[in-house]
Amino acid sequence: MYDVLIIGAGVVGCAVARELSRFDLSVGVLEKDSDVSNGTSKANSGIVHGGYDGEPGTLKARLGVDGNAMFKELDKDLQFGFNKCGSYVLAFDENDHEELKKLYEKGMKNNTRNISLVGRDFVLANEPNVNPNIHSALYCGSAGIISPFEFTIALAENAGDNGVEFHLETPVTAIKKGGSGYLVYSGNQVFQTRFVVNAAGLYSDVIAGMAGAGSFKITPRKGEYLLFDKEVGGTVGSVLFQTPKKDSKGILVTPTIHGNLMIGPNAQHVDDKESLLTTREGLQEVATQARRTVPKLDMSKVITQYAGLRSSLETYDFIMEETLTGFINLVGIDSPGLTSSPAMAKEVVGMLDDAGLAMKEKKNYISYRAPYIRMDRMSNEEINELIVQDRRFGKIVCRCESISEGEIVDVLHRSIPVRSIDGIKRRARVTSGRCQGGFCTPRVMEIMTRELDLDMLEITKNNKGSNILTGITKKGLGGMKK
Amino acid sequence: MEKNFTCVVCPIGCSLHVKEEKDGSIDVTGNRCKRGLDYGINEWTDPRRIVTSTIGVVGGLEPVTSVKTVSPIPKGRIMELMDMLNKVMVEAPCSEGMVVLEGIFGEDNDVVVTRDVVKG
Amino acid sequence: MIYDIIVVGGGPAGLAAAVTAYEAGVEKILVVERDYMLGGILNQCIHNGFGLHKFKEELTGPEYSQRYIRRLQESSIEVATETMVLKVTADKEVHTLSEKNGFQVLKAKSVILAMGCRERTRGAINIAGDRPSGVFTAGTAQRFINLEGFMPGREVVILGSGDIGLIMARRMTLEGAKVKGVYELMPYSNGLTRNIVQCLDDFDIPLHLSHTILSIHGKSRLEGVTVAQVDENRKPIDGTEEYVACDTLLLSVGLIPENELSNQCGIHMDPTTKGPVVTQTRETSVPGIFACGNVLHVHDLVDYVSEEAETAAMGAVEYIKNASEKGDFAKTVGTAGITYVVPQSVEITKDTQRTKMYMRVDRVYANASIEATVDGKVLLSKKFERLMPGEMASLQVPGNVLDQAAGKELVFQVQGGEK
Repeated sequence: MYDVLIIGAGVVGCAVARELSRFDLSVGVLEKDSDVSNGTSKANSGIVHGGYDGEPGTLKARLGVDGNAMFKELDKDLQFGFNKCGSYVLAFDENDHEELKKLYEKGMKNNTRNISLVGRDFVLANEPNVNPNIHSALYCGSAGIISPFEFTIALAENAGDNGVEFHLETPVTAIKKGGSGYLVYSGNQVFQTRFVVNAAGLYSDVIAGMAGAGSFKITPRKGEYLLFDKEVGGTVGSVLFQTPKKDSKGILVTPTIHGNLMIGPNAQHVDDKESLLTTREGLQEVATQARRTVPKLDMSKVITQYAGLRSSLETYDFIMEETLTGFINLVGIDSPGLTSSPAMAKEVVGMLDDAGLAMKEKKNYISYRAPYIRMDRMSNEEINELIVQDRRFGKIVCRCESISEGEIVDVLHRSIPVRSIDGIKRRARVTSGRCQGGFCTPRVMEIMTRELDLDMLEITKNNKGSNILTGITKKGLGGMKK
Repeated sequence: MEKNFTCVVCPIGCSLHVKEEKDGSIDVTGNRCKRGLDYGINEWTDPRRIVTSTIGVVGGLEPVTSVKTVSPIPKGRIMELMDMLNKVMVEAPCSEGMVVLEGIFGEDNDVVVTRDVVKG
Repeated sequence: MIYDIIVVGGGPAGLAAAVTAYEAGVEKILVVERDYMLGGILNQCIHNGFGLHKFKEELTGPEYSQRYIRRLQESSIEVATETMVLKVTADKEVHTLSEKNGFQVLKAKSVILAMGCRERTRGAINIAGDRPSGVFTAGTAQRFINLEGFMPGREVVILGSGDIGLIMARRMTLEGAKVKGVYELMPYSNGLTRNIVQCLDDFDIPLHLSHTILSIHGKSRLEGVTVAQVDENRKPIDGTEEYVACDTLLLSVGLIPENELSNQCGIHMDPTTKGPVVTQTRETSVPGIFACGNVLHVHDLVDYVSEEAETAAMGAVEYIKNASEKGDFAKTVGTAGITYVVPQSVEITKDTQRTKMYMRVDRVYANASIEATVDGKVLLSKKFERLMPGEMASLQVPGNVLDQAAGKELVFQVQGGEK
């Protein structure tokens, strides 16, 4: 019997889980996929927005600005990595400039910190690779970048450390009223809970529907991205937007927290909630638009491309309400959802408190979550010390990013179990470099067989069915070099 | 009876046309050199290939090692050889040149190990 | 302790370089290899066809490398396996990391870079679609099958007709997979004719030239790909799309020299070869640092890798003896059909030796010549019955021709020839 059951282990669900883990409550999270942060939270721009563009008076405006203010402290606790690198919205002509003025006004109303309208020369002095034909820009010093999945994973791991129970590969199939709250089914499994928080992202409309808690229609909006080699990671130092058009914030050019360069997203309404299909046309569009911001982008330095889906509603704002008694809907969380998530989580706690859930703070709450061990951020002496403690830190598995076996083993034994290659990739960065796993995938799989007691043939790239290998040839009874 | 082949004797890759006359004589056209002529005749009468693959290893550092036929075998019997190799296993250590199948297809042809495997 | 020579990489280039330098009298040599065994990529290249030039016989990859490993084992060359080189500095410090020795800074009088190359990936060629499992580079699949005994798939499509792709088409067929076709963007194959015949024709595997993959389908494991024909500008032709069901896609779409260490060291790079700019001794722009093998430019035959490694090793030997004489440089340039020339410059001294120049052409030519010119004057011409991008061409340039190019550009071009 849970006090609160959260459906969905994306950034919103995990932020709520972590916030609730401060209290003496029994909290569970149900996730349909094999890992946390496997939906919208894994493939988005990774921007902590300044909060100037939310319509004043809306949740998006308020939670965006409040959320932004929490990231510095969150990073201190959770060590996911936050770079407050600032952002520019670029105007290319007088008309754009008029739009920027409106944005600036909105920002002032929203209490956005550190925004100003700046001229062309200011931008070019700070971002010399920006198109010299720009007119002006809106600068926001409070914007920054994070890895959206590392943030989500950090929230989840910390929640896990504080007793929240995560049930992966547990898709919700039915929700009924019962007991002193709800019965949530996943096939034959039943979870009893007093309260439900629906944080199911793209499927939050379906989950709400199952419980009879409102009728929503989520339309997935797909955005495609291109990621460049670290070699060109320094092309820009801050997040570069273009003056927004109707449907999106425009295609951005941004550094990533790991030192790559990223461009995207476009915006395309799709019907399929699982379709992460990239298209030639879409990628072309992203490249063309991004070149407007940075003309000298070298497309031969692209190392991978991917798409993400955002959950959008027909209405503008997030929905955050107790639609049924004990059933809280968090629906339509598109941009700035990542930025808003910590503030939203605090408000959800307040809503649960108001709804009668007794909130008693835990005595043994651990606010700190140790970062993943990253040798690339250590001195030679620190590395040697590490190797003396555990030789496996001397064994490089990923050649492109120089990641050791020790670093991989570290991510496998945290509170959230990791069972897939992509899960390891999102934590330890292996297979994410320029060889995209060509060299290290076999090595990573070997480590997984040993550490997780899996058979090579069982190992998947991501969810069930995405096995890497299909059989054996004439394997004898030899071992493989460990 | 006739057939086209691409000559592999040198990088030029001549398109050979091989025709067997009623009297059993073989006519090759399209070749630019004598070696191409021989290649064409061989491909027609008795095409052969060196086959390389792997076999299982018991108790080795690696689970398989690589093998090859010492000389070419009839092209039509390659899959037959693969079936034979599926049933062979050697014990580590094994080293280059070790014979794992002797006199295959009744000929003076062996399958040998091409990569050393030490005990695991 | 200061090594005379540290060789970075224990594949075919590194092995040949180390052995050659040792046999030329250099004593303190260290080979640093990141894998647990020497031999590099040859360990998984179990097919035959190696060594025809070098040893006048057909060897498999493991046998070819074994010849060098034996020579190395008989020498006093030191080998550090499972050791990653993190950095090479211009003053020839080599930073390494290993389980055994932790982080170390090693010093050398000369360094030979022999890190090889890596395969281009799906990301690098930007194929749209889903991101299922079952998409491998050909080399990764080769490792799984030949070294680890695993099958990466059952129904296979191969993109790219380079040699690794062709070899893997045969290999997967022999192991019971169904290879549905090889698709090549260009109107010609980049692989050796012999491989097309013996790896595809022998097994009735179709080769589709002027084709590409438009999209990848499958949410968990690969389910199929959409292929299409391309026009002469390599743009897909509308209406030629076709869905091919498969659970495996192998990519054999090119190799890229692995030059992270060279870049970090500040070595000048050639944007075409993606390897360092070198002189005829394979010395890079950093004195005393040499490069050879696929880290310098991608070779099609390992025999040429060994040959180049010998050249680099002798260069390093001369360098540590301080015997190198300074002279004027002739810069080599490829135009009109020649995409690149290695070495990129030749140092001209009073007894400049005949120098072998390696180059690649931009398309297929029949009965053409490669000419070497200085100041527009043709000084040398060699006829080729066939020139193709997939096969490296070479030209021996005599000392007297090189002398005339001192301080100037030695320009190579294709002359004549039918398409």
